[in-house]
Amino acid sequence: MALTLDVVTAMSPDQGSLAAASKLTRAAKWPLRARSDGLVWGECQGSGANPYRVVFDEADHGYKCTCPSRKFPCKHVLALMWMFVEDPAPFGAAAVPDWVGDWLGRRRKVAGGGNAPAQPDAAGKSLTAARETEPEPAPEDPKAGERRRAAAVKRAAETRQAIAAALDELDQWIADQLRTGLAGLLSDLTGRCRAIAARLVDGKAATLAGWVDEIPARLLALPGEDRPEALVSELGKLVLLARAWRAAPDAPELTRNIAAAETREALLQDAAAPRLRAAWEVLGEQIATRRDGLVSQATWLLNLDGGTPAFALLLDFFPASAGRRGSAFATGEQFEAELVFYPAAQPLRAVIAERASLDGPRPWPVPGDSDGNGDPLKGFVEAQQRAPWTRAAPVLLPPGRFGSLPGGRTWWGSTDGAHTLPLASPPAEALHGMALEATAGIWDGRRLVLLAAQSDWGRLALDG
Amino acid sequence: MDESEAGIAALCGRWMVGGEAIGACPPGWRDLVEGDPAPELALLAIAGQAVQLLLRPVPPAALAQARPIPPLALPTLPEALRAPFRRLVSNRSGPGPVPILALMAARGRSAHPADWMPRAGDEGLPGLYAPWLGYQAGAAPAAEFEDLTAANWDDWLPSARVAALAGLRRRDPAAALALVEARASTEPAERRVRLVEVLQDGLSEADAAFLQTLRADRSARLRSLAARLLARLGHPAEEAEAAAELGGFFERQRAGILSRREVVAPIRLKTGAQRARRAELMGSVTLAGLAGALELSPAALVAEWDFADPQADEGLIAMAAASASDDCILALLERLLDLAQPRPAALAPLFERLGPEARRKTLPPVLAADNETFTASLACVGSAYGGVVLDALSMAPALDRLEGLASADARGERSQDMVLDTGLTNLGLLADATAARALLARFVEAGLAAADPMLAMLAFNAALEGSENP
Repeated sequence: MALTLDVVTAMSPDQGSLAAASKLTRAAKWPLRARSDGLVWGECQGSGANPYRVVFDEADHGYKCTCPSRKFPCKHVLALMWMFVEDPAPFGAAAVPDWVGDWLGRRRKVAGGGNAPAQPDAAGKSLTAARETEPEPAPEDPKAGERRRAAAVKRAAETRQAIAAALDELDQWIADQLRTGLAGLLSDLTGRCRAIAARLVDGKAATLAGWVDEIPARLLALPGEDRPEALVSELGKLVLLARAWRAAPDAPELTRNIAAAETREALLQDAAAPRLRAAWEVLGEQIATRRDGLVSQATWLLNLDGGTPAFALLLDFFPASAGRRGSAFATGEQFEAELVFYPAAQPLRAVIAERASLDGPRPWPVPGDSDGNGDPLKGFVEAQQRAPWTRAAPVLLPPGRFGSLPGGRTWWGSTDGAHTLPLASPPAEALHGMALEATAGIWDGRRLVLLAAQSDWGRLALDG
Repeated sequence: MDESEAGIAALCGRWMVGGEAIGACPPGWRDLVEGDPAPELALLAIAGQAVQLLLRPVPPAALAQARPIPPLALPTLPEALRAPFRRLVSNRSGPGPVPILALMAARGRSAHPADWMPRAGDEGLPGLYAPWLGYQAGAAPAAEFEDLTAANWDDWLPSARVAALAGLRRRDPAAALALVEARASTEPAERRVRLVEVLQDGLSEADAAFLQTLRADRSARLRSLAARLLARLGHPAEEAEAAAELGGFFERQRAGILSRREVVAPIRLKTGAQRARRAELMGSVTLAGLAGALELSPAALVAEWDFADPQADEGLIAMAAASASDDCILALLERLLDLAQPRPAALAPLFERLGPEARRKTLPPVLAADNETFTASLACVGSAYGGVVLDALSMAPALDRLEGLASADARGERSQDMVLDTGLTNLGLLADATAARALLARFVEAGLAAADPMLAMLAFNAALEGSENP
């Protein structure tokens, strides 16, 4: 069956999906649209840091989207189909990217393939109705506006009060743990952290609650002898963050770390948000399932122009129930982009405002520091000085190699022998035989999580 | 342990058991927190930062570093082909790394060590990976491209030694024989067998005297190997009794209504035990032995064989592959390919006996008879992957069959998917780059998506740059 607007209408789960899709049928929302041999795909910039990847098959209308929507097809699929049917011209011919090929490969293994409904039903749905723009809202009554603004101020004050009370409770909890002994806390880490995290949620400190909830996972990943000091460090940072917030409760960075982050839209409209246009490389990705049922997807970028910030972090969260979500970018992918950073003492987290292809591959910047003391962790130290509640920071290490201890623990060591850093997990054996010209990773004061490296054998992806 | 480290340790120790730690902190720190409304929490914050910033982990012993991975004679794959290579190699239903590596080597490329490295005992790899085999086995790096001699024999790893000996055998068969004669007796039985197997390449009467000495070897496997190689050279084995017993399972009879030609046919067997015994004898008796028991020459036995019993036919093929002369091998191949319903997949053991030139000559009739998945054709080319032109591949009935399967209607049938997958993978290993590109277009036209994983080997082949196989 050929793909037509009637088919798109019939495929939509409801009229609301068509209305939502209608808002996405603008070219500005789709930094990438392409086609090849009956496959049509695109990237749609949603509210997250990473764009959603969407693909459909013209032949059988099978589709896939990386968004966490529970509607099938989602508004992104509908919008892409809609735009393609109305005007296929902007969908340029392109080589099929790996993520489309992977989807196609998984489809072949399912008997019958495809997930288009056998009998799409158009009853109660209309593209025309979805296209109709909402009527302009009536001018606001000035008194209603005043009441609305006063209510917002009151809500903000109540939120601040709730957070302050939650932080006081957190301080008391930490003091109790010190008084009764951290050994007891370590023996009941999950339960006690869960309990205080729940109190933080009640106090509108949702982000901080997530931080506390993940402490057990972080500590239990360490060898037993490292856990006491690691716990002291974690609890100390909670104290620092709470005190920083009390000193500046309106600071966006502190509110973000305790309550909630700004929306992408708010960030893009924030004139104070630092912007940087540069060439970037995708170093690697970390995906972690949290105790609160969310999956965090962290994509690390390296500034190839050598400026500051030297790194950027694209961070998204989606429900674990949404299933496995494909990566927005390929590791090693390079592009030019304007990034908008969330305001912070040490800007790192960002969203992509605009993205374009590079005219050729770019080398990594030379790792090094400006004061000549040769400390490969200078970036980490600076992050701690500006934002001492920071748990970890990305670093670009100078030339070195991997080495191992008897018993197998693997370290990174600089070529001059002056610096060694233990690794969070060992890299593949083959990589031990390579000379590393530069290594990118995340240092948390105890272990280095590898992302990527440049070596005498070329680029190495180390985030697997 | 310096003062800060000692201070942190003291604080942590106090907090672990519970209670105030301010009395245990370094004096400078106490000054910082005095006057704070929550001095223990302030101390905790300072200690936490000190843990992260002042204490840098130090390895308790010197780090052992691996030797640098030796470079290979060919450059690695271009970056764009590394992900497709990884997918092909990791595909459990695929052909495995050896054919893919051989195809890459034919096009002048090697694997990236981060994508694939051999295990120490891996066999059948293209010779260029010998340095990595040695590296994985922890051997000291040998001089690159050094020749194997009696003097440096012990410097080589066993698998690298066999590979070097095989190369020497191709260049100088007499020198290789001399080395085997001089050093094989110092090796354990399993390695002696591998060394003597190298003599199969270019086997000639010049090898007979040495092989005769192996009839008395302490290893039964080596004695059997020597007997088979001698049989190929026309030297009879000591197997009269077994040959006679095997001969009893066959009879000469006249076949055909008009021609009444002589054929050698298996007698009808009544029990499974008889079949088992016949198969056992066919696994040990030489072709010449069976021919002699039937009062025929080996060539006449091949000419008169009646291909009526698949198990007996398989036995004949295995027997010939082990012990027949080169001429008998070619004659048997010709007969098998002339059958009304050839079974090209059964011919693989005979291909192993052919040298590169003979394989090239045999390939066209094998292709013409290949109506399955190009498995037989792939066996025929041996390790010469990626060199068959489109015209030659088009001779195979299998190509039209696969094209038919590729249509949208056939794709839904699971069993046919496996046939198509295997056939396309084999095509991807057989075709030269020009043929691979043409076949990709043809199968997309037939109904497959360009990104279909079943076309991955063809796509990889087409994208591999470098010179084609001659």
